[in-house]
Amino acid sequence: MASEGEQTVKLVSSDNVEIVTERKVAERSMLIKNMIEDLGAPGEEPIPIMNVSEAVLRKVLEWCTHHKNDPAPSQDDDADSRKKTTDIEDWDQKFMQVDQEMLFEIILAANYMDIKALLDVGCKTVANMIKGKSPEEIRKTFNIQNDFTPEEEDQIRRENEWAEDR
Amino acid sequence: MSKAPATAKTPAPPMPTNKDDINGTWNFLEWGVERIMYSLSDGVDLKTYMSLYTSIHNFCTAQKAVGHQASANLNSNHRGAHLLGEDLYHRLNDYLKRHLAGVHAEMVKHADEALLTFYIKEWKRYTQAGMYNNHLFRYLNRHWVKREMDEGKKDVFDIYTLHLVRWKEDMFGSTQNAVMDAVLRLVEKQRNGETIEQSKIKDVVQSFVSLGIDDADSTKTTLDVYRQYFEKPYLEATSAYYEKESQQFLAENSVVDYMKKAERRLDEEKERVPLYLLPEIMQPLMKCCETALIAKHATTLRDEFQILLDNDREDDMARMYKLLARIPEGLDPLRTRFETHVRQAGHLAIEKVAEQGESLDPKAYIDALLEVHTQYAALVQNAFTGESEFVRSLDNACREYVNRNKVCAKNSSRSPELLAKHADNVLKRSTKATEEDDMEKMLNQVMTIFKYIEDKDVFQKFYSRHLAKRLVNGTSASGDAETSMISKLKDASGFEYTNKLQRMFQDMQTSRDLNNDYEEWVSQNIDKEDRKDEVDAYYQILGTGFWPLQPPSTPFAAPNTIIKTYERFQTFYSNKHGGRKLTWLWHLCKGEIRANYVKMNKVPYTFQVSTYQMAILLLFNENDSVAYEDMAGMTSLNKETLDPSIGIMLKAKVLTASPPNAPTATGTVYSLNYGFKNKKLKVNLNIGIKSEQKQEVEDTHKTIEEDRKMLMQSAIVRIMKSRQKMKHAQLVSETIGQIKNRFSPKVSDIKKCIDILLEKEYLERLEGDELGYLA
Amino acid sequence: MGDIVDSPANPMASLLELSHELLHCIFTEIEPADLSALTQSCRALHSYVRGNRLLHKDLYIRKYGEPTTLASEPDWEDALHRLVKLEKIFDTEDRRVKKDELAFVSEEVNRLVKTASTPHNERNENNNVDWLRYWFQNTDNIDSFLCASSLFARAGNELQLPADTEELRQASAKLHCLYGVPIDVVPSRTFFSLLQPDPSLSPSLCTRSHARPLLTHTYARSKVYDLREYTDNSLWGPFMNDGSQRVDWEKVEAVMIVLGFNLRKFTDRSDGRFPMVWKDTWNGATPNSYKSLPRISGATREVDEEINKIREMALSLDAQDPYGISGSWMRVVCFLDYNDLYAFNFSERIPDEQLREPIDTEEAIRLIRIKLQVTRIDPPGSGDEGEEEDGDGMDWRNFTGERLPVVRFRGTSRSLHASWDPNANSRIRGTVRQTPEGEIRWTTFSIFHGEERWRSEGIQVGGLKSARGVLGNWFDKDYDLHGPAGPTAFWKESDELDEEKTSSTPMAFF
Repeated sequence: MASEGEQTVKLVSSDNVEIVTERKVAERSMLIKNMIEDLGAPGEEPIPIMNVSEAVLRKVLEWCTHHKNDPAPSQDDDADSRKKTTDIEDWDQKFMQVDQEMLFEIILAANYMDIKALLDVGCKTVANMIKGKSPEEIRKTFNIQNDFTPEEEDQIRRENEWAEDR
Repeated sequence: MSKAPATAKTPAPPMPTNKDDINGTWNFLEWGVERIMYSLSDGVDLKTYMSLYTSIHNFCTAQKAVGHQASANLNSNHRGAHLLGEDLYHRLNDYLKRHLAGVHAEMVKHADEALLTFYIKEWKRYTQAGMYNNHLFRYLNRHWVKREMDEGKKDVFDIYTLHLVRWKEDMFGSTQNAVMDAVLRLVEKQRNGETIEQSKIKDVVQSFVSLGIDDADSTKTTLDVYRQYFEKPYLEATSAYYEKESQQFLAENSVVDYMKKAERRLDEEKERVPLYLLPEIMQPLMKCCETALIAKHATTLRDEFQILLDNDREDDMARMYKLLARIPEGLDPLRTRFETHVRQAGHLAIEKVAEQGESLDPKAYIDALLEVHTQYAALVQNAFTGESEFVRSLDNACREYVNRNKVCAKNSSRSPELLAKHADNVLKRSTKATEEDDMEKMLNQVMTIFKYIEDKDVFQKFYSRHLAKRLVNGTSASGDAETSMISKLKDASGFEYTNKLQRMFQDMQTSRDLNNDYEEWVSQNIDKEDRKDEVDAYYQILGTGFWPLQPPSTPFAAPNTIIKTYERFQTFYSNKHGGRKLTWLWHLCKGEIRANYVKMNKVPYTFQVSTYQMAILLLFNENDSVAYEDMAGMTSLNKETLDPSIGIMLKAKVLTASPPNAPTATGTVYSLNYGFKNKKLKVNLNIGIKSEQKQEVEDTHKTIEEDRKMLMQSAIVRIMKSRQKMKHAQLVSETIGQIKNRFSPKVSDIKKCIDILLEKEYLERLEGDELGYLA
Repeated sequence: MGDIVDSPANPMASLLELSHELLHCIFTEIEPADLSALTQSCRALHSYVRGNRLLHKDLYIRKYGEPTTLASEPDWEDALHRLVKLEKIFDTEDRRVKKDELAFVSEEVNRLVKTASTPHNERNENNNVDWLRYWFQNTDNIDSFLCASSLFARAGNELQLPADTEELRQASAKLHCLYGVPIDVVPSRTFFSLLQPDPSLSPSLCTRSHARPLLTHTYARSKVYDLREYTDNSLWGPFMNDGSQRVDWEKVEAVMIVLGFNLRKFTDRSDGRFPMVWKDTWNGATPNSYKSLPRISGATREVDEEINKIREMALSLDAQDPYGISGSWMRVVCFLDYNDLYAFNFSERIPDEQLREPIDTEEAIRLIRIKLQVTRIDPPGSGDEGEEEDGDGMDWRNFTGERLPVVRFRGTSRSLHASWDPNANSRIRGTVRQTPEGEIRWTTFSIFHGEERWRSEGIQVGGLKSARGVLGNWFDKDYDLHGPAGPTAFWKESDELDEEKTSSTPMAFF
């Protein structure tokens, strides 16, 4: 019998594409890890990843493969997330150099599949796109329409006096 | 498995397609949860699992930032974030309530061990399902539940804990009593020697512990539930069991047998803990057993102690000690009895030797003291594990019988005096040499008693006198033994205590060096011719103040030969140490005289004599007969010294008196006995005089009294100097505190000393009971 | 809106399409100041951010640590806004702005320090304190906020000027005390031999000696030894001269500068055998910042059972003592030679309001290890032993927070300088209590041969159980108007009373 490290699992994307990957890689996802814990190793039976398309799933698995030897995520490691640094390691930064749609798809997938570290990297990447920007720059970056009336803009500027440079 | 509701076998409803459709979502979820509750063993397929998870995820993520902001008013109250999931949570909660109501209805149909079996089976099934559900609802846990908990909601729990909370509220309250009764019956069976299924109790413990959800932080557990519903009844049952058993057993068996039984029971209970209880119960459980098995019968046990002591039942005493040591204050009465017992044994031993009266042999006395101590010190070690409180009781008893016994009745300082004498006998050279190990052992024995002596100053006085004699007369058995003894005394009583003793040793060494130097000086500076009429001499220079020696009690005109010899030495000495005055202690000097006029096998006899005797005998170099008055005139010796000196020589027949048997007084004439005969060639005429020895003891006692007065007065002055003002009574008690390690002063003596100091105007009386210090 | 999202059935992933929990994940990673731009970008984000209590709370805690000792939950949004404003004030190069905002800065820094979480790891990391330490490396901030007490009318450099009102001058003095490292130059062997900038010192510390001929400590000393400052209304301690027991932070500041100067000199002369204290800024300035040294050896000596019983009884008292009294403390006392003190105070008459001239006369320094043990706990507001029974006679109407008991202690003190001298050892007793301002006030009496000789009054800088310790004044216990008197401080070293087990500094090396 193959040891856990050599075992593979078969994932099926929302658009019905089968992707075979190492069990260890797939278990970066707490969803899959818990499922295997509850139901046992699935063997040849495919695991439906209902909310993730093939393109995104491959991207997510690329990340999981690179990080497969990281310390295993624990059930409640988000208790400490407040203390984490805002740095993103180099490989992850490169990994996140994708178009904005893919970036948000990765975040959604990481959230669905419960891959905390990937979700963090995604959120930090978006956060970095916000940091230090003016309202107008934010709108431009995220393709947001200014839907305030001029009066409202005035009002909001007054609300935000605390943040003015001195 | 109990019968599964029909729904578990119904086909799955469709997976909801509309994300925020609560009814559709819940219908689907309820079907899944039901399967997990009842058909886990049939397995849940991957697709169902993923569908359940996904439908929860989709329901919770339906909310969008843009979806909600239709309001045109910036200041609307509809602000901030909103998370979905509450509905799912409450529906699951309701579901669990319904589910447990069914289980409960089944449970009440069972009793005793069957109930236990049912409880454990249902508990395991339910909690295992709870863990599944916890995973399936993880998205709810991660976001909605977490936020509610962060917001401080005390009635929202993660999904697994929710399962436990439901069990605790809907099952536990109404069944735990019956469950616990069944558990306790099992334990009683085991105590009675039957075999039981221990794992059942272990499972119950685990269940009760799991239900201890911390009110302050539901992610943590406390032992509260376990303590109240398991530990408490468990301890109560244990108490009742052993109280009953021990009472019965004692009624039918001996105390010693009971102790063995109790020991065994305590061990059993201790071993039971790791088998199926929590380690936390160890302490209260042991306490409860100790109360029932020991504390309740402590009086009975203690009553047995005297009997065991009288019969030297060491093992049983050890057993009793171990038992009583486990309960608070259990040993105090034993210690009191032990102390009394040792004290009585001590007095008894001393009464036997006290019959020797005045002529009491120091060794017999010390041996009697030691014997009792040795016996009971061993008992403390073996039976009472050398415990410090028992050591203290032993010490108290020993101190009592060492210092206050029949021998000391008249003279309280007899003990230190006899101990010092005994030490002297040990350290003095005797006919048979003592092995080094034996010597060390005997010295340690001296120290054992010394520790208990209260009047340590008396011992010090006598010891230093004996030491001085041993050193001056060269009668020490071994220098190493002497130093070893001094360092023991130093360890016990401090540097101050042995300071003078050490100085005496130093003087001896310095004297040796000095004599060597002198010899060299003589050979370099004095003509051979001049050296001829020199007497071979050895000098000891003893520092005044360190040696407990008195100046000679008689005037003395030394013979010329000696004067010539010592004057030369004095010249040498004052060259070396200008300004130091030498006083000759004639009464301690001695010498040897060769009697060329009487021989044995052509070898002349040698007389070992005191300097005084030497002076007397040298007179006969001029005349064969010397009259008493001439003797007194030429030597200048007083009658008290001269008479006994002559007496010894008469007794030894070195001299003869004429008329025969005439009193030593004017008119009597002494002649050399040319017909002297003795078995040995060396004849010792320098024999101590009995009355002198007795006088010395009295003198020593007198100096002790003087020293004590000085010690008390200086302590008083020291205290008053630092305090300036003090109440009379307080001064007395502080003074006692300062000097009690030397001797135990009497209050009346201290008061006398205060009066003396008042008279000398060191102190003054102030108002009230106060004294003041006058600088 | 329709422009961004293609169709509701198959929405394109974008920022505004994310669910609320994901926005939360992203926004807790930005800087607090960025919230302003976000709310100004569009209605959706404005509505999401404004009033989002948890978002502001998480951001606050992430950046400044979890605040402690709060009676009620703060308004996180407002608190965060105020700290952003504080940061902007620290960051500006405009000294006028800084000067105008001293009151705001003082209020915010005090709040930060007061609510700082206790260090959550061994390295004593604490977000608040690290953050303050960072901003107070800036010379402008040091000059503007820490050097604005009356003292700097004469001391300091031309950029260090007293604030306009007494309240602000007090506020600045208090900030200086919390900062904890005297802004002063201590002449030391190492200092004079290498006058090159030391990176561990702030720039102002390095340049100060060139700026003014007389050093700050000489002015502080003239305040500390001015016997006119020792009055009944100020309890002869570091309090206002009005009987209110309000702390006079300018006095505490002067005490800190003088003791800091002497301690530094002493450390330098001991060749490192006496470790430097008061060297890390903001260290120990927060409540509960004291942590006992770990026991050095686990070997337990066999102790008398009776002593154990006494210790147990004491431990139950210790458990009720909120001030953390029992244990070993290091005390420092400085004094002028009596002739110098007398000459300084009484050789010429000067008007009451006129300050005395600066002095740089060498003082004596004594280091004393004291071991204290709680002996009695009385309800809050109890008076002194033997004084009026109805309480302390203070006005507690404005007091907020928890009223703490009055705790009495006794102990021994042993000089490190001459342990062979019997006078180096004495006994000590005293009281700890709150003032109506909520400050922790320590009163001690030194007892020589049963006679009480010196008294001291002090304030625990940093509040309850702070590591910094207690700073104040010592004086004759019968309030002798002619002194002697001087500065003193003590700080806790260990909760243990056995020196063998805990002491990290050598007991005697003099």
